[in-house]
Amino acid sequence: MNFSEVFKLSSLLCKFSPDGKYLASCVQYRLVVRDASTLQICQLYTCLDQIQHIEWSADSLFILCALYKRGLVQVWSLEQPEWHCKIDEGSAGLVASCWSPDGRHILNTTEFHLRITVWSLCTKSVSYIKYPKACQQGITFTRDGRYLALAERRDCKDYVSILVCSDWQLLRHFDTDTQDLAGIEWAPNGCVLAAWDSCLEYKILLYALDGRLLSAFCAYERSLGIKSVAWSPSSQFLAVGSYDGKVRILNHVTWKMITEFGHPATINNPKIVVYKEAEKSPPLVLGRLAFPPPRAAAGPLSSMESEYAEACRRQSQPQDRHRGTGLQSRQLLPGDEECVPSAVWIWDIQKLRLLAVLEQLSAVRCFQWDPRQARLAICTGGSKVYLWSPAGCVSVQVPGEGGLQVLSVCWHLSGDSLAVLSKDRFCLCFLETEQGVGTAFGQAGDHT
Amino acid sequence: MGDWMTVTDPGLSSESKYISQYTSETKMSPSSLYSQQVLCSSIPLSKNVHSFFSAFCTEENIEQSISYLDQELTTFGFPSLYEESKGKETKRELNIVAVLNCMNELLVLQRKNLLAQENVETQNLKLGSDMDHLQNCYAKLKEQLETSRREMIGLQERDRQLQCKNRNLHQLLKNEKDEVQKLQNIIASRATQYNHDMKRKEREYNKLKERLHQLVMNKKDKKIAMEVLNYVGRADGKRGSWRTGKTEARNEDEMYKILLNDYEYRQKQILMENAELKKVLQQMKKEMISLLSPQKQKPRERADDSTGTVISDIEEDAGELSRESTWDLSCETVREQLTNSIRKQWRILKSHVEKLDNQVSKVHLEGFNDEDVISRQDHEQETEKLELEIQQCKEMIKTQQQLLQQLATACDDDTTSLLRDCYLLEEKERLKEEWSLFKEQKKNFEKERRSFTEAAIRLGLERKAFEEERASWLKQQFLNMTTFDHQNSENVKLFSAFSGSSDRDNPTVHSRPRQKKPHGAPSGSPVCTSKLTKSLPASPSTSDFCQTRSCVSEYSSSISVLNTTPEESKPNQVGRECTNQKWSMASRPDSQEGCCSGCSSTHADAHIEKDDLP
Repeated sequence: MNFSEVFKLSSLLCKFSPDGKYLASCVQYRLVVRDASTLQICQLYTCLDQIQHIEWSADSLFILCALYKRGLVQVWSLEQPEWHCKIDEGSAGLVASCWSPDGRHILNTTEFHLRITVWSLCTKSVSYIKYPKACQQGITFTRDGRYLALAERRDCKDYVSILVCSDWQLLRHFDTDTQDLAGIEWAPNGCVLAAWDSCLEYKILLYALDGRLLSAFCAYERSLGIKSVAWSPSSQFLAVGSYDGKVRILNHVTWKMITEFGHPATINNPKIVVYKEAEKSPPLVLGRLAFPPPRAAAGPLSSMESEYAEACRRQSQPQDRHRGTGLQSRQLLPGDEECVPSAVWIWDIQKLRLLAVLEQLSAVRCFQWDPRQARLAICTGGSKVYLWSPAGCVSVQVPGEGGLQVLSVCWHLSGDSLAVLSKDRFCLCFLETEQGVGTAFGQAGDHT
Repeated sequence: MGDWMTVTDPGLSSESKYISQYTSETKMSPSSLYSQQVLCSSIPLSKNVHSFFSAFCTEENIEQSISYLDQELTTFGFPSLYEESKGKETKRELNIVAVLNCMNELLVLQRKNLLAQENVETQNLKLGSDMDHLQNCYAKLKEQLETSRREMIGLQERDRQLQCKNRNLHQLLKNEKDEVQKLQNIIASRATQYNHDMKRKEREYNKLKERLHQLVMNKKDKKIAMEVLNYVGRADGKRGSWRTGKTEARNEDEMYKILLNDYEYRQKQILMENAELKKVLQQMKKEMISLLSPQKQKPRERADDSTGTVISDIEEDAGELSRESTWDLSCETVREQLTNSIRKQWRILKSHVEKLDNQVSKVHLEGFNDEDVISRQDHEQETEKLELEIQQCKEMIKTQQQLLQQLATACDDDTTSLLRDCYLLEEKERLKEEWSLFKEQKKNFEKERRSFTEAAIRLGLERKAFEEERASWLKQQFLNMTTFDHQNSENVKLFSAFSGSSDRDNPTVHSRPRQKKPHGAPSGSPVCTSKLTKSLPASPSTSDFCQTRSCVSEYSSSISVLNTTPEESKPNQVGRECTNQKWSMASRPDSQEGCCSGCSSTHADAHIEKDDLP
């Protein structure tokens, strides 16, 4: 495992281009685009103010920089450095900005969710979408970029509009049977839309592309409900995490629950591997300790209460909680229990059972699946990055003077490299080729 | 108590001693004498007074005392002290023997009395102590009673208190319930109010939003604008199209297309899954048949009526196996048949396994056969021996290597080159041999290919001829039919179609055994014969009929081949049998592997459990 030199960064803005060739990062008001493999600077753009959000267009030709404070969006072209575009939302303000999947339109949400403005880079036309709902996840595009589903609120009722992205025409408009719609998400195959109610009520609704209600699911009543929802990459399963500390998996045929994963405080099954991070006195050693399965997970109970506050804070970004994997062959689902924010739970969907629990010393800040294989990168805000795969678990000290407090990680498309982000710096971690990694993990696994 | 003890002590000694002691006591101890006197004094007072001053008997009153004694004694029932007077005048004489006897008796009586007295005294003591004991007990019990009574009172008091408390709690519960009810009502009202307020607020919010919208958006805000250097082309290179009704329709179309594609994909997947499951079922069935068929003979010998019926089923199933085309049909009859047959076979298998289990348990009960089971010691010894052997072999190899090296170093270059040449020559020869073998194989392959192509051509010709024949026949039929009136034509058509086919097929079926015999008999495959028996029955059900038809059509095609190349059918069948055998062969290692894996898994489990132990 090799690390690049450390570069400056601000507000965790560092993104690989969708084609994997470039890496964009922000330093205050400057946008730096580097080659993803050599890390040489390709382009340098200067914005008008501090950048608060960046996003690559789907074809990796443009980068959008949002300056929310000023209500401005600046777009840069990678092919033509002299080309520039500036969108000013004026007094309406700006709270969110994103690309349409074709990479030629920009969707800007004004303050107070008054409307969504669709700016085109090809023509002068500007489209407006009224009544967008201010919620967790109100805009979702299908994976093929053909359709946009948008949560709306009119007359105290929730609606979902499905628009065709090519010409922004309304395809379907239907009301959802929800008290307060919290989010919508397309299945990866683009044929089913999942819509869920706010946390006050456990309710998840599934709609077909043409607006028919396929099914509704409610696990229980009169208690705090859904926390996060994630589709499996094959669209076969829908994982629903809720406030009762359980993940429920629905199938795509009957839309009924297949199984329910809890987060037991003690794990007695000897087949489940529990990895527990332990501090070693010489901190520079690539410390990794894996305990053989049973009786190892009794620890979190005592620390539960102290960690609960932390958990509450983390509820604001609940999509990170339970996320489906990017793998077809071996489908794994990690969940992160709010009571034990320092633990990551990984279930095997093929066998429908808990596979491993990773217990870190401090609360998990971010985790992300390798886009190519069953490998999970985890960071806890310390100076280490943890990698888990079915073969084992390793922790790697990120080099850098003063230590890099890793707050976020970001995989490269190929799964060969990993961007490691801290508050003001970042570096790239190049992983070995698959064989090398395999042996490394194998050796790591021998310790167990 | 102490007294009592001293008194009982002599009682424990021997009788004679006891008596002697008493005698001595009576003689010597003054106390006893005194007591005797006291006892005596209890007799009439006058005499007492009289005897107080003087002894009972003096010289003067011997006669009187004797007579008195006599009187007294006679009144007590003793014999008279005097001799029986023979005459009235004669003075009655004192009978000394009688006196002595009396005295003795009196003494004995006295002793008895003393004894009795002792006994009574001891008994008295005993009773007294018993009494004390009982009194103690009584006192204790009384105390106990008192305490328990007190306790009872306390408990009653507590019970009362608890009841009071309970009543209070009940009251509290009721109050709480009321409270809860109230609160629930409040919550409900609050919820409705909240909802109402929310709605109102939201409406207000919406109004404000609207207002803001108007203010911000409709002011023609100069700032809201986009500055672009130049517009870029679309990603797909096309130009934007106008919005028309057409585009809407196109969008709809596309959406439905996507949905359709999804459904088709899913259907395909389901079909595939179905097919796979069917395949698995089929394989299972095959395996079951292959498993169960060897046992065919055994149950028959035993004349087991339950399995007897089943065997015929197996045969049937074996016949069905050949008609694999039926599996592709997903009609219900086939499905039912499949599931039923598999269920049946499963039942047989289960019973068989149970039987085996029973047998095994019996064997276990009988005890292990020493011949079959290798004892652990033997095993260990054997392994040790083998290890030793391995060691020896290794040493041998090492020495050989050393020798070889020595040889190699000793030999000069010429010899090594020679050796190498030798090796080369050898290899060359081997290669030549292989080459020739390959050539032969190639020739064989060529031959086979040629024969195959010929056969294929012939088959094609045959088929063509057959097709022509059929066409002509159909035409004829049709022509015949057209001569009939319109109403009957259809029925006739159906009927004729069936009858025609059966007519045409039956001869072939009948002819088949004849043709088959020379080939089938030597190969002696039970599968084939069962097939034939199956196809023969005259009144099959509809599904059976279908099957027979398909079967027969298969036969007919094969017959056509038979007619032309009689040799080829035989390898075909043999091949089929071979596949069956292969199946069974393949299944065996599978099962073994399963067993092994099972073993290993259990072993692993055991290992894990071992790990669990501290």
